[in-house]
Amino acid sequence: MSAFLFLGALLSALTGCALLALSQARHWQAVTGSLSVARPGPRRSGYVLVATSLLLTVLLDGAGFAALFWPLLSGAAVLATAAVLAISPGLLRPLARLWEARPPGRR
Amino acid sequence: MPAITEDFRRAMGWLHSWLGVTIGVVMFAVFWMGSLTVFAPEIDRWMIPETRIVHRERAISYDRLLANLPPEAARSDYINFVVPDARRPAIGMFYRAADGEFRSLDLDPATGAPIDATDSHAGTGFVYPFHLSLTIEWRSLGYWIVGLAALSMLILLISGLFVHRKIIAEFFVFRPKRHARRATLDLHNLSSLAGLPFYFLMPFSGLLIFAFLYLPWGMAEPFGGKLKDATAAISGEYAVAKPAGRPAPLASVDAMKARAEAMWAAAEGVPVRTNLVRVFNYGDVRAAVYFRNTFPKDRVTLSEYVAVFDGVSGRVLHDFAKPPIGHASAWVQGAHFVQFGHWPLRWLYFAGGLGGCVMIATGMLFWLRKREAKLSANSPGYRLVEALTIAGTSGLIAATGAFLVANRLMPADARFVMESRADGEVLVFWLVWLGTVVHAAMLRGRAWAQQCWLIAGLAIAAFLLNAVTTGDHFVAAVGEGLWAVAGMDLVLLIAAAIAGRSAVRLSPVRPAVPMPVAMPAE
Repeated sequence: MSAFLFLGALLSALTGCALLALSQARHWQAVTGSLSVARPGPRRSGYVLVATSLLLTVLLDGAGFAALFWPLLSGAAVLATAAVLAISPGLLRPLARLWEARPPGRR
Repeated sequence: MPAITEDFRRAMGWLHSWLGVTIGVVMFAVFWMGSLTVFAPEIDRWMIPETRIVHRERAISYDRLLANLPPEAARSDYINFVVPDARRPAIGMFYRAADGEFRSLDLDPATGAPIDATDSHAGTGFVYPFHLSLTIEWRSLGYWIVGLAALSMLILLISGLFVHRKIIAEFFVFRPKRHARRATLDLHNLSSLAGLPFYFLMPFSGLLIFAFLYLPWGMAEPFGGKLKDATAAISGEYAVAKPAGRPAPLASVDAMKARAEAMWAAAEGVPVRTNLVRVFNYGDVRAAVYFRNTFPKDRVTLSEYVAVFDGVSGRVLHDFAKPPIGHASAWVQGAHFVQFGHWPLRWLYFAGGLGGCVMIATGMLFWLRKREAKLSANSPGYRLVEALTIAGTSGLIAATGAFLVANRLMPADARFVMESRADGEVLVFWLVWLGTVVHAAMLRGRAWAQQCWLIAGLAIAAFLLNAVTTGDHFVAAVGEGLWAVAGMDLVLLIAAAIAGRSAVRLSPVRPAVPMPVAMPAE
């Protein structure tokens, strides 16, 4: 159970940070190549996922550990996202496609 | 709310630049050694191979250990046993000898016999004290310097938030392919923002832990100005009477330990282990036995149960549990000391500490790069900062590598000019560090690459020397479950790879030599 919670916290922090980055026009353009303004959809989902990772770390070890674990995990996710955007932004294209495929009204 | 004016931003920028340059080297040293301290017991296992024991839960009889003490220890009025666990598998023992000096030795957890261990200060005896006080003991000066660095760190973090104009817009931005100055600033901003809560917590908790030193008046004020009383109220210290000089047999320490753990478990609701057993006035009618639980594995908060027993009658003299306010400070202490059994968090602490090193180093490097194109690049001030930055970052890492290599190469009876072999290893550390200062002052910018090559070479040498001198090469260590050794070896290899790559990138690019053009045969 704790392995699933740990993995869940890690994945939601990573995906959340990636979506927050994609919500910024500069990174959206670097990943998709399309010129467009910042998107609220990825941003909202990004915040929800980052908050989910906090919840999972609390469930994993309690608030005492989560107060240390979550900021460090989120920091690692920020660095990983920045590294992917700097070295190989195309890796985030599958994530961006989830938002590209939606009709404009639902973005 | 008033807007941040340009003047205020400029003032913060000035403060951020100059405070960072002034104390950056000390901050880097504290962060570097702090990162290593996260794995201090693992460094101990690597540097003291005789203590590479696979831990097994077993009942240890302290009565039996006391009955078989070395003669000098048996006459001591202060004998300590550190209870073994997975990270410290040998029984640690230290006592005050007749000359007033402390001696330490490791005991085999299976037999209780002293281990003929390599004489090394290793992680717990050198890296950890360096993090706390730079090992400058004179009038606690080292603690004050580190405290000043911690305070400066907090000021730098706050001023940095005002200096950075586009925190949100550039939150994920790193442009390594842009010119060097831009890439350095990006890395500085990125590493600062990614680890911001951690960088706040570490210096803040460090200052709180040493509040007894930095703010003794405030701590002692509620206790009528008596600092000793304040310490006793918070940490449970107990004043034991001096020996009477009349011999008396010691009651069963094992029985007292069981009783102390039963008292703590009743209060806590879960089993609580003893971490430290201390015998005062052994063999005297005023003997006392002290038990402490400090490091619970399943939570951050340090537990500070203390129980003191009369050594002859076995009566409880002192039963201490932290007061509620003590629990709040115990979380802060636990968050700084990292003794909990949470391995992913431990690794994140290590990574966070190294991230702090990157933040500090790139900050100093940016200061240099901003000025290198100007005429001031040849001024004595610039050259001093340049030499200290190079030696304070890559030089310190190289000195740490030399410390590890010296540990594997120095013969058991080596002394140099020092009192012990362990001090000899430390001397090598300081000499190599001093050498990197001279090297950086002479070679200036070219020293970066050479010192990175030195780090890579030392890391590989340490990796190989461990295999040759102990036989516990990486594969064998994994096979035998010696995770501390395998982890150290792995980190050494990664460090060598990163240092080597950095050296290649930092090496000056040589102009391509034109190839001779082959002449067509006539």
